[in-house]
Amino acid sequence: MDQSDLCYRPARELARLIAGRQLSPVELTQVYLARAERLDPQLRAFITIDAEQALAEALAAEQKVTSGVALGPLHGLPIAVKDNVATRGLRTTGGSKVLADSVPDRDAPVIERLRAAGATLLGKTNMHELAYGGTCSNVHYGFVRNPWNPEHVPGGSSGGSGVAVAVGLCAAALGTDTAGSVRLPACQCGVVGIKATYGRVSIQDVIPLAWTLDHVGPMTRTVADAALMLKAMAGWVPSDPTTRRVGVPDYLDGIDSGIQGMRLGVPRGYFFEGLQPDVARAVERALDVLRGLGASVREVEWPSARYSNSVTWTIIQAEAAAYHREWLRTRPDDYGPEVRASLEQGQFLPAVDYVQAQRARTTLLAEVRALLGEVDALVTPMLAITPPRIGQETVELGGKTRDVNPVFIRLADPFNVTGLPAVSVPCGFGDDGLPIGLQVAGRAFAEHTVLRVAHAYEQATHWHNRRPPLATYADPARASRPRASAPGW
Amino acid sequence: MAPRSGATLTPELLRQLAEALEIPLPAERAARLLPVVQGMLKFTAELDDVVTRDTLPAAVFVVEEA
Repeated sequence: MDQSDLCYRPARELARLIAGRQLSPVELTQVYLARAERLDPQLRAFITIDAEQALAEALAAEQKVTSGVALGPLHGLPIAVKDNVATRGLRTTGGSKVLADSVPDRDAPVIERLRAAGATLLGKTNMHELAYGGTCSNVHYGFVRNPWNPEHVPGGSSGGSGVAVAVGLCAAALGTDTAGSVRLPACQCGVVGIKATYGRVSIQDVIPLAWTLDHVGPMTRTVADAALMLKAMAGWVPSDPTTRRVGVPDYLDGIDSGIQGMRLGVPRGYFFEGLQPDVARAVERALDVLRGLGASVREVEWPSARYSNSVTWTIIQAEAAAYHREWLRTRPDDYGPEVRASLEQGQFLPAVDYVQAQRARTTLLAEVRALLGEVDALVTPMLAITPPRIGQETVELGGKTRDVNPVFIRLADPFNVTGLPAVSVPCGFGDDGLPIGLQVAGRAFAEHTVLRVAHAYEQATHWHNRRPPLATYADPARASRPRASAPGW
Repeated sequence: MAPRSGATLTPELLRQLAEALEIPLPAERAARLLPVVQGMLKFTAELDDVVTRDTLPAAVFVVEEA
């Protein structure tokens, strides 16, 4: 099997090959490690790869295959994990200097679940410092680069995970999403990312940005892979009070049943204001595809969604400032300039504004729940623009100059504020050749519906089959076998 | 009433408030931070428009099953 082809195979297919003894977990891990060694010095997708440990885990997985014991659904699949999710014995920096030497003594529950399903850990991915931003221009661990054009950002804050999936450095990856940070890098890297309903996936032992908005979610090459990963990750964790005791269905069950007759709502107004023209065209074409698949697509209104940006910023400012206050007092110089300024700003946010933001969530949720009584899911653009250049601070949209940061999160954060499930699926490329994403959101704990819509769209299109032009990075002279151990790489 | 803007704030006021909170904020940082804090106060003022007197906070955020 051609190695560059193998590294792009969907996780679901790789799992089948491993279970059928047609693919060795060790061989697969070696392919990813060699590829990372060749590509990652430029892409900066990883903060830490422990090749020795990854190969040891792969060998153990291989021995289980040959011993004939029952295998989990992710058996032998090497995954990459955003560096704010605790991994036992493997440093977890949060992309920060503050936690540069932090080595957890236990796995986060979500990692325990993935290991129980058979996944192995390849490494920890680069991210925006402390998940507090959307560019992944990390001053401590290097600027993550968009594989479709290295002069552009990959999106964030889970940009390293997005890149690792997009260029075939792992079978799947984990990200965290406080204001779109799984879905936005997925969108900008041309892959799939889902955040489930708040409470569906544990956030315990994840370095928080804002506890009441944080989610953990998978990033994958296909929607079916996202369904496979989510099933393994989801569920009640007794020690995590944010999780809900709600049954977790098999998200692959019925995913192929199509969307004939399904009612899809398109919230015009806020979600479609000031879109980059090529993004608008791609989304309208996607809506045509959904109509062509038999869905009933109609326009709906969600007026209070336009407040989600101020709700999100207020909550993040307050909760992040609270979490970091002690380090801000004692180690202010260990923060990057951008994050330090944001944390300082948060110290001055009135408590009443924070409470108003938490009250506003109730208003937004009541409106969208009423909407979702009339339709089965909502479909929106994921991001109004294609990925900006590294260092770009403003964009021109609808004749206005806007700051990049609020533009990044404005279409994603309504679903963090309301806690509803939302997925980003590739829906085209801009005039600049950079990816565009479509967002599908649904009712609480109805992840199966949003996955079904996204899967139907994906299967009717070809965007997910495109691969980044890696000729920019290809340098055969640098390709070599993986190092036995490369902590800190 | 005029829109909330924090226009009466000064770098020295910010520095003193930071000191009261035991946050290191040298004068030059306070001066750079002032317009950011003013922008934040103006921006978050719109939250008052989203709630009614009866709106409860979602402080412990729980959503119901579908």
